This record gives sequence, C-alpha cells and structure tokens, in this order.
Amino acid sequence: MSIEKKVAVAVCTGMDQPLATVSRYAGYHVLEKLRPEKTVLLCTPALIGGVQEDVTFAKENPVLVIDGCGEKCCEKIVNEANGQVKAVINVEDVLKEHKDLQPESRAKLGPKGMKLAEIVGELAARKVDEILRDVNKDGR
Amino acid sequence: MKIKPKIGLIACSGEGLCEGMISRVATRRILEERDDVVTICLPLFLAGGQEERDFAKDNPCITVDGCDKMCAVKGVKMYGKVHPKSSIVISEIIRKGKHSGPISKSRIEPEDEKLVHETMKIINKEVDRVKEEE
Repeated sequence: MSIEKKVAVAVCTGMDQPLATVSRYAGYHVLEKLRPEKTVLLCTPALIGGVQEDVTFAKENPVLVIDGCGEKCCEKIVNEANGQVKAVINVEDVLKEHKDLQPESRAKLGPKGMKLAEIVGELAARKVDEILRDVNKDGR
Repeated sequence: MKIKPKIGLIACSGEGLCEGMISRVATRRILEERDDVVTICLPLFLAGGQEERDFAKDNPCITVDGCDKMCAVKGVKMYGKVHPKSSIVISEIIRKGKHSGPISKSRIEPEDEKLVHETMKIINKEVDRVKEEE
C-alpha cells in the first residue's frame, strides 16, 4: 500500500508588503477551503532553522510555492533546503493581470485584495491537482 | 549629534503554527504604534537580502519567535552572523501567563487578543530596554 502524497504549500511569510499578506491568505484559501485533504502548510522559517520534520516533509513531498514578490524568497528557501519545488506562483505576476485588485495594506487587504487572494488560491488549487496527477502518474 | 539606531523587529511569522501568527500580528501592531522600530523581512533576510542583513549587523535586533524551535533566532545567527539583543518566544508567554493557545493559523479570534496584548507589552518593554542599553 502506498501512502498518498500531499502537496506542501509554502507561502511568503514577509511582513512589510501587502503582497505577502495576499500570498498568505491565498495559502489559507487552498488549505482550508479549496483542497484541505490534499495539502499541508509548510513552515518556511523552520526550513532555514533546520527543523527536521519540516525539512524531511519538503524533501519527500511535492512543494507548491506562493511567493509574494519578485524577490522569490520562499522559492529560494525551499530550494536551499533541497525541497521538491514542483510549481511556483508569484502574486506580483497575478496582480499584473488583475491591476484593479490592488490590496489596501499589509494588515488589511480590503475587498479587492481578498479577491486577489481568492484568485491566487484558485490558481494554486489547480496547480495542486496538476502536481498530484503527475506524482501519481509517475508513481513517485 | 548622535543618531539613535532603530530597533529591528524580526517575527518568525511561521505558518506552521498558530503562534507564528501571534508573533506576526503583535509585531505588526508595534510597528504601527512606534516610530523607533522597523521590521526586517525574515524570508528576505534568510534568502540573502543584503540590505536586511546589513541592517541586522548595524542595528540592534529583537526576535519574536512563535515556538521553541526559535527559527528566527537561528536564522539571524546563521545568516546575519549576529546575536539578537533580545529574544521573545510566544509559546513561553502562553506557558508563563497560562494563556489558552490560539486555535487558528489564519485569523486572530477575540479570545486571542489578550495574548496579543501581552506579547505587545513584552515587545515594548524589550524595545525600551534595548534602547536604554544602546
């Protein structure tokens, strides 16, 4: 019997930009509403802190990164920990396609920012399905 | 005239635990209240942001970790080559103050406000202490 893999979702934990907050809410949207049975939230600082259970999880399961901006910190951190990055979504790129959905502030996204987070979350949910389809096809 | 350094606050913001959210919210509220503190973006710091690392070398920093894994402290020591002037851990505040732990990773519930306020009080006290020492 093979244990069913879950997708580890790593979100930007930045504090000084509204796009980081969008990334986080998008992550919650996938984890709590859209794909709760198929995803696990990864603690990004723990990867750098060398917390073994988090590092092992990122190595043994496919990882979906939701970065806030072009610095791509989350992707770099997961790669640094030798995690299996299978897909990356950048909130900044999504915002370029939805310029009217500018979040209000880092503390309060407002209705437009929340809508942006939902769009990113839906995009992430589709990526989760793709990743799991590929993983199951490959038998890895 | 001596220019007083700002204090850098580094919250773990870890998504894996509810305590990470408390560290983020309490730190953010302090940033909105005081003009003598700034935040250092932990992921950028860890991913190699030179500006963040230089700031931590040149200015006193206080870490606000969610749990006893203390990833923010480890990251600052490992990548910034500096020791934080003070280290605050939310799980210790919960234990010492006999607070009930937060239950949501994504939002602050009304019953978490007491813990957030207690954390803010401790951060404020530590910022004042570190400033005095500087």
